[in-house]
Amino acid sequence: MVDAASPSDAELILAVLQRDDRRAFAVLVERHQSRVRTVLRRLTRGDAALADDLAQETFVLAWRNLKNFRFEARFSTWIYRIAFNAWQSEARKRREVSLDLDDDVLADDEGSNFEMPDVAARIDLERAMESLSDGERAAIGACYYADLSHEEAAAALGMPLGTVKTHVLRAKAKLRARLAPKKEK
Amino acid sequence: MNSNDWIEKSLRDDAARPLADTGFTRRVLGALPPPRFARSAWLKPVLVIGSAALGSVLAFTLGPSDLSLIQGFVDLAHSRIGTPSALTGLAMTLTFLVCAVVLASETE
Repeated sequence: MVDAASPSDAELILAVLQRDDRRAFAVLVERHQSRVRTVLRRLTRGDAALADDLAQETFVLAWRNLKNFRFEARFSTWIYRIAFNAWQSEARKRREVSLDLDDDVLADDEGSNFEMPDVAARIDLERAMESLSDGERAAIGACYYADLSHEEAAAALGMPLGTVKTHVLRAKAKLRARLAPKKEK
Repeated sequence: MNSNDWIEKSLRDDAARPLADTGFTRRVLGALPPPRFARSAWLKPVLVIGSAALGSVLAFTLGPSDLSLIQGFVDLAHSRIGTPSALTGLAMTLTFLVCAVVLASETE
């Protein structure tokens, strides 16, 4: 939360651009690190070390490209876009992931849960998120964790708008199905 | 509260839960490129153009005594490009042209 006395993101960015001010950049990182690291943790299925490496890469890339920042956009929207790109390229490096093709991943996840219904009934939100496909996690991460609109999420993820909406709907249905039994207890 | 409401609330609560910095910001600052060498914007053009001018003056003063830059351009105007003076004039023109291209292509 930014209080009235502290400089705005735009003022901090100007300080970095004009004076190479690393203290101003540190304030920006402190301000946004929590959400960026959280969304990356959800995207990487809870791999905190990988998520923090990607978050660090995200902020370093932001530093290098700050001169390209357009002040009409929110800094948070811009930084999330960099974070999603970092995650996507890491995911592609690891297993050539496609954000649109999720049925195979879904089938695998469902299969494992049918084998362990007692575990599936007790999973919490974090575990439930891990069970979503890459595309669904990305869409949920963008729309709820990064707080982007569907349009902004589509642009950030490089997905058609309709695909984002479909992923969000499917993901919420899956989360509901997985979490509802726990909630009823 | 309908079913989507509590899912959305859970997601937003999870996103808003603060994550302690635990040295993350310091790690990011340590990974940044080293600070830029603070120099004036005019320094690079002066160095490039100055080096070219110095090279041209040295070439001209250390060349054959009968070398004339004006004669060189006169030769070039008359399409006599093989004379020493014409070649000197051509080389100096090309040198300054390259300097101009280098400076114009600078993005930072």
